[in-house]
Amino acid sequence: MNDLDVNDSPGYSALVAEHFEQPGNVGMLTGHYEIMLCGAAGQREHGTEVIFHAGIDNALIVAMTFQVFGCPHTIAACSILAERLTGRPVESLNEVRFNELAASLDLPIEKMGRLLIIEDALRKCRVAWDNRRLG
Amino acid sequence: MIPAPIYFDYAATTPVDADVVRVMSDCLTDTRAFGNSASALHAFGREAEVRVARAREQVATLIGAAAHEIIWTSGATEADNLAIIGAARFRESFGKHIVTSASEHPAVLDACRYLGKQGFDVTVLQPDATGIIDPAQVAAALTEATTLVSIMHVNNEIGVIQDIAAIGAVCRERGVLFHVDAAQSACHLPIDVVAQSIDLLSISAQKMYGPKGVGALYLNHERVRRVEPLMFGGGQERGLRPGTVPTHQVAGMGEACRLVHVDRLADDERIAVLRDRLWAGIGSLAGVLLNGNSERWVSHILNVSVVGVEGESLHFGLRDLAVSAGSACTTRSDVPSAVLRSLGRSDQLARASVRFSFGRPTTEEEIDVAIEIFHRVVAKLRSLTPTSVQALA
Repeated sequence: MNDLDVNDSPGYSALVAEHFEQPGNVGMLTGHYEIMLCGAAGQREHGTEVIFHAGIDNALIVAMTFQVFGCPHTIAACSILAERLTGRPVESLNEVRFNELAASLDLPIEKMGRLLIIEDALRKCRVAWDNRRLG
Repeated sequence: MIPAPIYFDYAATTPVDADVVRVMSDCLTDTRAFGNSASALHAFGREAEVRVARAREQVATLIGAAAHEIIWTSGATEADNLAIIGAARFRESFGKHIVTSASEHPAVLDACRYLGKQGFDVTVLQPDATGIIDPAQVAAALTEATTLVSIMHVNNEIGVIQDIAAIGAVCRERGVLFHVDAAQSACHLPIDVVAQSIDLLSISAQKMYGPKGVGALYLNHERVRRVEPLMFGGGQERGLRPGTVPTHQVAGMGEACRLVHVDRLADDERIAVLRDRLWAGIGSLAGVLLNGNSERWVSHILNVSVVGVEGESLHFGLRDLAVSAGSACTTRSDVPSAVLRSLGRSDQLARASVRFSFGRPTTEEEIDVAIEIFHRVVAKLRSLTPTSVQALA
């Protein structure tokens, strides 16, 4: 049998493949934090469901994990964001540059809606934070 | 170590058998065989004609037909179109009702849809939850205006075997022509067009270790005197399919048919064991659903849906296995498989389906690697999902 290049996956960049194969920060949070935030968006019946969990100490995201039902690009985006936002201020939840993320993933234009779902999930984490502060 | 990707897409196409290559190469290199088989006035044409005739005989022998009942086409798709559109048009004065099933190949369904737009009445039968069309359904659908029934022998996506002998008997009793798409069955199941009351039958060389680009249409000489041709030109193939016959292609198909006729039983027994091994290995996972009928499934196809995983991620995770999502014809589409939808699968489950298909080169070692990869990918994807789905694992 010919030894074809299995890394030749049209439509998926090396970054997507990397985070798909070894996603970081998966699952629910363990440990103790001052505040634990959760933001969910999307519907599995429609093909994409995203949940972020953030552990907050002193207004810093000291731990962030995710759970996802979605395509390889969605999985990769969640893995990248959970990694990047860990250690950042809570305000960072509103400061993600999704266009840059899309470009780095070589995200097909027809999948831009999946980033909107991810954005919604992060926004819900931020709303949960605001509600806790004000409450 | 087995190099990746491992080929599990034999239902899409097969590698060309070495003996077939030899026969084809001989046609291309023999200095007396390059002639046009229609040029019977000289030795070059006659040599080509001999090879074409031999191949026609070999195809006919495989399906229990007479050589003069075989028409060469470019493949099963063209054969399906010629059978359905050609027969419907020729018999239009007797009636304009056609019966088929929702799980047919697009070549059949789209030909029927085309006829529907031309004023024909098309009844599309729904299979049961395992893909079976009951002959009683066919009988109930027939009317005085029915001129043609088209039901495939083996479904290309889920491998379910239809009782074409019983359906053929129903059609024969009612005086209705019966067409069978046998592209997936000719290499694996015995076919006898006389005993099974088949009037038209489509087969493809590329599904049986022959070359791509060639197929054949069987026409029962007594019951289907002619069909309306789809092409016009030089009068070859009794005027039903004009165009210079590609000697090397048809010779290759003939040799492929001869090899199937000789080796099919032993091949199939071994391939069925491999299919069962894979099903035992992956079916043990919770939420892995068989698409089809385990009592009536062809040896070389296994189609499963996986609960709790997203379809595109499943296929990407399985990329070391050259499998199919649905049929080869529809793999690049995001539309869920119409065949799986006709079984009652949701869009999501239809997208999270995988068709494995096996062939002569498939080994037990390859099956075991596939099982390991499948378990790993499904477990990984389920571990990513919110808790309610993880309960399945």
